[in-house]
Parts: sequence; structure tokens; C-alpha cells
Amino acid sequence: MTAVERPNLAAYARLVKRVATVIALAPAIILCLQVIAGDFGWNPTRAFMDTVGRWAIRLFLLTMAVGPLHRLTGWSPWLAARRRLGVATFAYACVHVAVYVGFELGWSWEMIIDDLADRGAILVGVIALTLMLPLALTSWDGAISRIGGRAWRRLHWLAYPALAHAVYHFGLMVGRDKREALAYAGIVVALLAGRIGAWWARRNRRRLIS
Amino acid sequence: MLIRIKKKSDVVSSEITSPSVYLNRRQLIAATGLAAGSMAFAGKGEPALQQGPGVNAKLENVKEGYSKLAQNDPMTSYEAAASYNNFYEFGTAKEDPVENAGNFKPKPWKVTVDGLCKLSGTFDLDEFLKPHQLEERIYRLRCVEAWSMVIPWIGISLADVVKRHEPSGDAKFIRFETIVRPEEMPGQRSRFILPWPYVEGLRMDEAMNPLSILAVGMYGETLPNQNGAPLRLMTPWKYGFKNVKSIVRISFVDKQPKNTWNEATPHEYGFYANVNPTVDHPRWSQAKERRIGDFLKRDTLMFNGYEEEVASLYAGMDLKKHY
Ligand code: HEM
Repeated sequence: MTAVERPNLAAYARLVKRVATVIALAPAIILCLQVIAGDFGWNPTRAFMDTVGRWAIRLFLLTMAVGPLHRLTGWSPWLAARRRLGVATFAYACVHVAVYVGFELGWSWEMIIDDLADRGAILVGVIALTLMLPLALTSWDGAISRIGGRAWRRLHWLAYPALAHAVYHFGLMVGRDKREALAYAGIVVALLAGRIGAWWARRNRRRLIS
Repeated sequence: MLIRIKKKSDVVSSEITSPSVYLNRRQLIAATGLAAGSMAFAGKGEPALQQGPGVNAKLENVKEGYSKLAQNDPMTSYEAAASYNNFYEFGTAKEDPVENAGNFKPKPWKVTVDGLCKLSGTFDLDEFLKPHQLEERIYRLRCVEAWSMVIPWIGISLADVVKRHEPSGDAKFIRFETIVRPEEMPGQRSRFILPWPYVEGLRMDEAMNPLSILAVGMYGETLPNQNGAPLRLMTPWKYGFKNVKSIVRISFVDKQPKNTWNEATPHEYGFYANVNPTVDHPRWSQAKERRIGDFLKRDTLMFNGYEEEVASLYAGMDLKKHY
């Protein structure tokens, strides 16, 4: 039975990967169309930056939903989507920061340092991006074999504090209407609860066996 | 009647955009070649009063008032000024006001003047405005969110209004209140957004400063709903949120009024709200601003460039504390 299913799963994994690619590129295409259509209004750099930031968070949430989806359905091809969505998340976050540093701060070191020193909300964003960095750097095939699967999986716990900081940063930045940020915070709590629950269950199972 | 503090040298007439520039594209296309040609000439020479783009009623008997612009202060387009707004009564996004203000009825309108003054009562807007001279003032507008515009307002001197209503010696502040009409202002249906009504205040000497006006129009015409029709405050050295819109009540009071944004987030917004590049907002720097239409930011000026006119009001005050 497994002999029949395995090639099938690989084919499904390829399909899932392709769908993930489409999802990962869709915001970029939408953003380009919006730029061409002049959708970003009278303060376009700011609006662009905000929109990219929001896409980064949405993709991040989606990336983190892949694990639970796999646990709930027991269908392994889902996992093939994860890395692609994760790398896309990082790319959008980088564009968000690049627009900020380039066009809002005008590459002024003085303003950048001032920002980091004085503004907690920015610092929270920087922490989010910094926590994402090791994951992005180890997102290629060679890295996993080099540092070992176990270390790699451990490293990926960082995704949770990274996501939490990104959502917190969003919540701090968004002003009076915090509904979207609060909804995302709820999802983060649910994801984290699910992950801890799964970890706890596995630990207990292992205890029972040994 | 008119307070002449205008200095000719301050206005660089060639820098003032001709009306054709702030006409929106649709109307420019609609205009005949001849009309468009004559409009382009209207900007030359003396800074003539602004001709509106024909969206709202044209205002008559307007005098040219005090306008001080710098070399690089071209006027913001009407379209931008009337569609990129913060007016939370109509929603929190910049495009919400223009989209949601269509059902708002700025006519008929009554203004109540009360508190510590001799001439109090509720007045029809026309009656309230009648004793005063309409003036055009081209001012920079600096939003606390680090963007800015240059807008030709039409309004009456607030000092004249104060004098007419004869406040008593105990009146140290003026409190302004925006109308509450949740049925016409969708943002007011949620108290999570801000506590309504929107309240702002000025110290009496700030209100008496010649720069302070109550505006009823812009670009030669009555105010669009989304810009605070039919009556709003304009104090160009303060952040935009200070300039309370759609005013229904003006009260002379002895204590500093609690202004809405200060009540909502006191660590972010104070009572004074003077434009100050050296005192940052907790979440962003105030050193620079993006003039709407520009790509890169420019330096923010102390008191939005009106230092000469208003700095003496704050002599000896710690502006880091009184932000
Ligand atoms: C070096 C790191 C970062 C810096 C300096 C930074 C800077 C900023 C700034 C200045 C704003 C405010 C923009 C505004 O007021 O309109 C902002 C908002 C935002 N940022 Fe970041 N950010 C960083 C990292 C991130 C990351 C990693 C994410 C997501 C994964 C993110 C998502 C957002 C979102 C969603 C908003 C709110 C957009 C809105 O108001 O609609 N940021 N960021």
C-alpha cells in the first residue's frame, strides 16, 4: 500500500509547492497592479509600505498554519508549501523595511539610529525581522543537512516569537483601528496553543514508551 | 477691521500655483482651450484670490488675507486636499471621509456660543458669520502623521469672533465641539474609534493670534463635507488634529478643556500640539514630513514655519513637556 502511495504523495507535494508559489507571488502581482493603477493615493510610499507589511504578516500566518494543517489532516504534502511561503514572508518584510529606510528615512543614519533608540514600536519590528533572519538564511537545502535536521527544527521555534513580534509591531503601529491586528493576535495565540499542545502530547507519549 | 500683518516680501507670488494646477484632471479636460489658457495666466502677477474648481458654491466678498509661503511651497491640488483626509467621524482610513461624507448635511447649520461671555446664544451660521470679513489665507497644514499640504482657506479671524462675543476676564480657554450625527457620520457609530463628540481647545491668547481663523471654505469655494463643512478651526502652527471640524459649539471656559486625542492617548497627543521637529511622536520622528505630491521628505519647520508669529506665546514653556 505504501509503495503505491509514495509516488502519489511526491506528486501531490509538487502540486502543493506550485500552489504555494502562486500564493507567494500573488501579493507582488497585486501590488504591481495597484502601483500601475495609482491605487496608493496621495501618500503612495507610505501606503505601499503599509500594504507590503500587511501582506508579510498574512503570509507569515499562512506559513505557520501549514504545520497544524498537517497535524490535523495527517497529510504530509502540505509541508511542501511551508518553506516557499516562509521565504516569501521574509522577502515582503524586507521590502517593507527597505521602503521605510529608503523613502521614509531617506537612508539617513542619523534618523535610523534615532528611530531605533527612541521608538519601541520600531524596535519590536526590528526584533521580528532579526528573529526571521536565521530562518531565512537556513532556508536552502544544503543548510538543513549541514546543521542537522534536529537543530534545524529547533531553530524553527524562532518562528513563533518572530510572528508574535511582527503582530505586536503591527498592533502598535496601526493607530486607533486595531481590529485586524487583534484578529491576527488571536490566530497567533491559537497557533501557539496548538503547537505547545502537540509538543506536550508527544512528550507524554514518549514518556509512556520509555 | 482687517488685521494687517501681511508683509509683501513674504509672499513669493510666482510660487503660488495658478488655479489650473489644482483643478483636477477631469475638469481640465472638460475646460475649453480658451478657458484653460486664461486660467493659466491668472496665476501671474499678484497672488490673486483663488478660483475654485467648481465643485461647491463659490464664496463672494473675500478679501486677500495673510499668507506666508516659502520658495518651495506650491499649492496642493484640490483633489488631494479633498480626498486625503483624517476625519474619524467618517472612518479611520484617509479615503473614508471623501467616500462617506456624501450624506452629511452642512445646511442648515447652527452654532452655539456659550460659557463665560456676554453675547451667548445659538446662531444660524449666516448670522454668526455676517459681522465678519471673509479672508483668504494660504497656509501650510502639517499633520501629526508627518505629511503636509498647502491649502488656500477662506475664513474669518477667530480674534474678531472672540471680541464680538465679549468673553469675561475669567475665560482663559475656548472649547470647540464637533457635531454628533451618527446617522450621517458612520465613524461615530463606534465608540472604540474615539470618544465623541470630538473636542478641541485653545488658550485665549492662541485664539487671539492673528493667524487663527474659523474656515468656511477652501480654493475659493465652501468647504467640502470631508474637510469639515461648514465651519472649522485653522491654526496653521499646530498639528492638523487640533483644527476641529464641523463645529457646533464654541464655549468660553476657565479651565483647559480636555481635547479628544489627549483623552484617547495622552502619551502620544497633548493639548498644545504645536508643530515641533525636535519633539517626536512616540511612534515616529517629527523631524521631517512628506509634502503630499513629493516623493522624498523635507525638513519640518518649527511651528510649521510660523515661528515669528507665534513663538512668543510659548516663551519660557518646556515644549517637550507641553507637546
Ligand atoms: C527592521 C524592521 C522593521 C521596521 C523598521 C519597520 C517599520 C515600520 C513602520 C515605521 C511602520 C509604520 C508605518 C505607518 O505608520 O504607516 C510599520 C508598520 C507596519 N509594519 Fe513594520 N517594520 C519592520 C518590520 C516588520 C516586519 C518583520 C513585519 C511583518 C512581518 C512588519 C509589518 C508591519 C505592518 C503590518 C505594519 C502596519 C501597516 C499599517 O499600518 O497598515 N514590519 N513598520
